[in-house]
Amino acid sequence: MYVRKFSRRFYAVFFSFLLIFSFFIIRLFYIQFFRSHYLSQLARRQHQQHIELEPRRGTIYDRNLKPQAVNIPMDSLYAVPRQIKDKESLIKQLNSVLGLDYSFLKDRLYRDKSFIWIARKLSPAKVKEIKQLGCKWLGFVKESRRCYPNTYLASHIIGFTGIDNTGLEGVELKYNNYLKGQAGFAWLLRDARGVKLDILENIMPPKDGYNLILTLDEIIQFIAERELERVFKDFQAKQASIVVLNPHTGEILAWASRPNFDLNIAKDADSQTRRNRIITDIFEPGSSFKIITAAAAIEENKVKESDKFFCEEGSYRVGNHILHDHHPHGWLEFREVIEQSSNIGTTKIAQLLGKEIIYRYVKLFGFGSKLGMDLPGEIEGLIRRPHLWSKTSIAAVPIGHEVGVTVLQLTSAISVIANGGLLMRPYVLKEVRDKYNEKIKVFSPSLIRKVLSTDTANRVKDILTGVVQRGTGRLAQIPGYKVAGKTGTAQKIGPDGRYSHRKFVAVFIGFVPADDPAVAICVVVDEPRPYYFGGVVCAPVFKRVAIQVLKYLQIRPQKEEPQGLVVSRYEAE
Amino acid sequence: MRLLKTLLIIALVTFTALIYVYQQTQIFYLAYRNDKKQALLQETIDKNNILRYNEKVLSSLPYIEKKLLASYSDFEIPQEQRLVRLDLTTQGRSEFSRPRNNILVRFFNSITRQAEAKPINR
Repeated sequence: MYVRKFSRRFYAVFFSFLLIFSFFIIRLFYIQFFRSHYLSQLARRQHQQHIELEPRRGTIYDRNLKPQAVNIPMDSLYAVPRQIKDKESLIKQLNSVLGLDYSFLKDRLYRDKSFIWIARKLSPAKVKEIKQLGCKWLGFVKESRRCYPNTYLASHIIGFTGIDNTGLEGVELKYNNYLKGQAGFAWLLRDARGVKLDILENIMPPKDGYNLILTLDEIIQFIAERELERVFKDFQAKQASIVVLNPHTGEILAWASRPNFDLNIAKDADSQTRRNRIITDIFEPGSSFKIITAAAAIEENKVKESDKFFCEEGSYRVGNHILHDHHPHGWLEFREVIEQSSNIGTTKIAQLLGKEIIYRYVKLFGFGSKLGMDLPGEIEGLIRRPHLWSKTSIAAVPIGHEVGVTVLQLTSAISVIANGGLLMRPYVLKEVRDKYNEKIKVFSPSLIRKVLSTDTANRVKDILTGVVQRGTGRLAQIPGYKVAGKTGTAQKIGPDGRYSHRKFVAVFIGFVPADDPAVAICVVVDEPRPYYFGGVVCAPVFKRVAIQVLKYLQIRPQKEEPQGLVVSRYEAE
Repeated sequence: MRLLKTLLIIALVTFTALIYVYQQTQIFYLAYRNDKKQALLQETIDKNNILRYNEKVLSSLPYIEKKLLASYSDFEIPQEQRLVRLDLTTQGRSEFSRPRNNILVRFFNSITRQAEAKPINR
């Protein structure tokens, strides 16, 4: 009765509710099936935080596991410009603490952004000062900074990284893939205020970079750097380089150039200073190149040590050019030609051989092509094919002119004589290890080619011993040790394209002990003043480095004392 | 009987829900605590890393050279014959760790009829 009386109203209410209910059902259906993905993403963004887990960049060690490049945790400062109210006062405060430009800070803090970097990788003292400002819209992100405890030591070989820890030069660049590791990530929960909580929802741990063990020896490197610095300053040179190498394996023990830079502030150094000149720059090696001519002549059986050459009393015409010796010589034996570094004698030997043979041996010794050193930037050098030689080239190439070589090529060439005729590939990376010290990869010595027979190498070695005992390299003599080496002094080409009489490159290449060489050393000094002879400028550097290295390597002196020990320092070459 | 069953089920569900809520609050409470400790630990590790690095810098050859140059020391690697090696064998160590007698015994021991000399270079 009651229902029937109000049946219309009843149905109206019923249908209204049904409609509303249906609307909700449809809406829920829509949300569940069409909007669920978007909404769940939104919820996840509110409750979870994705963070990238930075991998630890691998450490670089020397051969005795002394660290050369390490990572230090540092804080980087960011700001939330959108939330900062009193920007002017904050700019003043940051300006006084960080010393940053007013205009730089203004540009950053007036942007409409919720995150902007202010300064990266700050020192702990600066971080403390900024925290004392008490600004809640400034925050810190933990990053790691690449640091080099030995500052300038082996700077050209180790290289450096950029702000994001990516290798930019040297080993840091070449082996960036080993060093960098792989970033990981984690999803963490956030509370209602957005504060990150250490409740992991999902984690992919980072894979740390591998550690590199170099062939360098920190002590030998230090000795080489110290002596190079001394000659660089004493002779007011433009540039200077030194390489110390194990001639049997091709392992680089020391590698230094001047001018150099502090790896911790590498960005402040100009690009010229940062150049790895040992492999990127070429120069004319001068008389040091005569070892190639001598080796070729012996290997081809064209001359014997006792064969005599007339050195024309100091001047000899080749084509349109008159060739001179520094000291006029008459008749000289083949070994004396090299010992006294006679240009005329060497040219006559080269004329016996012919340009094709000279060119072949220059190439065999590794000049004019890359040695395949595991560092970026290596160049090939310069040697023209024989058909492009001029009439005077036969008097220039054998004495180290009209060729462009790198310091590394010259060091490898002297190693060929030292190790019995083998051209070894120079290398700097010894091992790759993971963080548990497990070996991942081991690099072993690699032979490029056999250049000379052992007999020829030993005969050239004897001649080079004579260079140090009686010839131009007497200032390289080491009491108690037999030293083999060759001096070189090359005129530089001036801006007018002619050889300068004021600018020279001084060179000394050698190895010690001559009978069983432990190290091969190459010293090159560019534009030394006032003395410029290789035997005067570079031979003493060789001697000082070799003495200390032999002492360090505990190589005992041989009993036989060298003959004719030189006392005077500046004896002309 | 049915009412009792219903009440039991409600109580069980409520209890389970409360346990769940308690568990969640504990997780967050521990997470906050962990956060603080983690920050403290990280700070300590960072300080340790920096100190280790400083130690490496202070013991690095360029730094030592700088210090030696500042004090005008002409340092070079010593010749082998100039090196003094300590005798670390049992016999060598016993020389340094000879037992000490009391004052009275030492006084009487020092009274000898002639001067005693010991060789330095053995």
